[in-house]
Amino acid sequence: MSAITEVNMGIQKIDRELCNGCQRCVQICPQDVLRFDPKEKRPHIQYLRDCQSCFLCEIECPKEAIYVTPFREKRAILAW
Amino acid sequence: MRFDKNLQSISSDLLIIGGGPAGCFAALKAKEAGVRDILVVDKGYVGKSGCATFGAGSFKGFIPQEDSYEIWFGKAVEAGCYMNDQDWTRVHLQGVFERVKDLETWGVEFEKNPNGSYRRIEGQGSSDLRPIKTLMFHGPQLMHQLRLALKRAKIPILDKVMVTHLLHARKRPEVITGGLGFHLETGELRAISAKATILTCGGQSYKSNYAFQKMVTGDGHIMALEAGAELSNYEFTDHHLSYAGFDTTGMNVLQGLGGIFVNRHGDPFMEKYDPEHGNRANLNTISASMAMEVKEGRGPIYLDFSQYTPESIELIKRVLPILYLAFLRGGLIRGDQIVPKLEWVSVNCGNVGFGGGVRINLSCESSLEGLFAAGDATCGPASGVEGFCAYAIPFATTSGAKAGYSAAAFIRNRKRGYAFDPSQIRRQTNQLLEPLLRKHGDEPEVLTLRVQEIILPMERYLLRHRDRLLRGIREIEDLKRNLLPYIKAHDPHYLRMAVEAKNMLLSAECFLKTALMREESRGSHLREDFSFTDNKNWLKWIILRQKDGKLKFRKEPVPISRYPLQPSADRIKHPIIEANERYH
Repeated sequence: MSAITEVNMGIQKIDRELCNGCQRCVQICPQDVLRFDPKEKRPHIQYLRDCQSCFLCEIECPKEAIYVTPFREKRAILAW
Repeated sequence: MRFDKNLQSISSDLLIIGGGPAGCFAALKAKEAGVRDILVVDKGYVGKSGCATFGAGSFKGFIPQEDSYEIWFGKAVEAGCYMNDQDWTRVHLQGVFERVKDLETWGVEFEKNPNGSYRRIEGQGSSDLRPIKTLMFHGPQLMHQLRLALKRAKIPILDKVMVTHLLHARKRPEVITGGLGFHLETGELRAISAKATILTCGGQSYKSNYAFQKMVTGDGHIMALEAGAELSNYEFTDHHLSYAGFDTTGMNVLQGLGGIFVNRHGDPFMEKYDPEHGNRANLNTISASMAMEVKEGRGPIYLDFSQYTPESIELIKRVLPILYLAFLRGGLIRGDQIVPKLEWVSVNCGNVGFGGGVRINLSCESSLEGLFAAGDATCGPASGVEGFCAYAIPFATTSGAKAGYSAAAFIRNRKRGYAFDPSQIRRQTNQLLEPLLRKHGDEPEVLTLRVQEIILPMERYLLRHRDRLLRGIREIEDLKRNLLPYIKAHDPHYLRMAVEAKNMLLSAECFLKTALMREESRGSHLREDFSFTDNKNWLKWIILRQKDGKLKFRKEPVPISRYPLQPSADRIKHPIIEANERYH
């Protein structure tokens, strides 16, 4: 498992080293994008397609572990 | 994923569906009025969800000591194109400053001058001749403080529970007695009984490319419609504006600070279409003007920031902190400078801020007993076609407070609630859970994108024509028959997305059918085939409801003769069409 979950759009990464597992981001996400992994004690990006790049998770994170980009995902229906 | 079919029943005196400013005001005022048992339910997290969380720093609050009531009322009715319920416009303007004071009591900060007076700028709808000044608040701080106010008042909150159906009383289908929903993470079903129910879960954004509105999917409109309540004003849509590169917000402030709309040749064009307001014109005027420029081959359109100073950037940072961060991350702000010119587009933002929704009277009562509505969940009666004076958050505060007081009075007179109709709950539960049982259906995203393809192009919502509206209606009806019954959901999160996609589809049907019906042009409703505003035949509200699965429409005359303001002529060419003909 890499230290950083990284993608190219919306919520881009949650730094698992900086994260303290407080679950604030999971609790507040208006689009219900994140879920908490009780074994790892870290949040993960479960529903990336629904991220609206609103920055709330980044702003609210007490450990500055989250990085969001404003660029929208490609709104195309992919084959898989 | 286990999806618990066992219902958890909850009972309360007052159920409030949606925890934005309208819901919070309703809860706090109902509590003040003596209602003990209140429950606020939201599919997000109250204080961090809904469009007001991302409210773009501007609050069109009329201040009796500073402002001219005649100018504000006159402009509200003018922007509303005489479709306002003028009684509501008056009640809203008379009450809004009291709500500003409430907000300050609860810790919401507004921009102030060194002498303690409110710092205000002239945003949309303001002109030198008739200034309308907006108050400024600090973005997400407003909703954060409202959650704290609920906590202090000991009002319980159910976060992450999406209510999808209203419950009818046994043998009394015209009486609403609570709601049915599910938890987004656990999937547990909740049946909440209540003596009174207030819908405050916002308008319909169609998840379009305007910032931070993707959760606003007409949930209250459609559950009210399906329960038999009347909707109104659905043909009037909010034509918002955004940067083309990613979704943005904050137009009141961006215009107020001196942004100039220019076409492909760098020519400013707004003075041509709206000489009084120019670049501070209302959203539908700017959107329609942009569309005309694009249609005449002078697109794309840009927003020119060359008049911005380092102080402008400082102000954006304070009142639009999320937009500031997006601009910074997107590389559009460097230091105290903003990129001088950015491509800008119009967006069909459904009825967020004004336009269609649940029809209410002056007490926020819907056409069903026990069901109230406030904020964007309503048909925006104070605004009519467009509401710069009664913009979303201010109207949410005045109507939310009113709904809270009215529901409290209603509850006082009703000793006990009605019992649920168990067969209805069974039927609704089965209907709600259907997408989870489909193994070979389509993803909710497929339906969402199809609906967007139908109503987001400019020639469907901005420049309307009978032929295109009819085609849109046929496409929607095809989706209702051939796609909606086959949408699947893997888990409760996707069930939310499936319900939202369904709500988008049904809202789009209401929009296209009422837009086809209104054979005239009026504000945001611009018909290429009916270019005149027809005050003789169309000073009427289109009211719709659902009966036996079909939409039924009726027209009700606006009681214009008893209102303070009447239009000056029977027939007026739509000003944007007129300006376009004059110049081209």
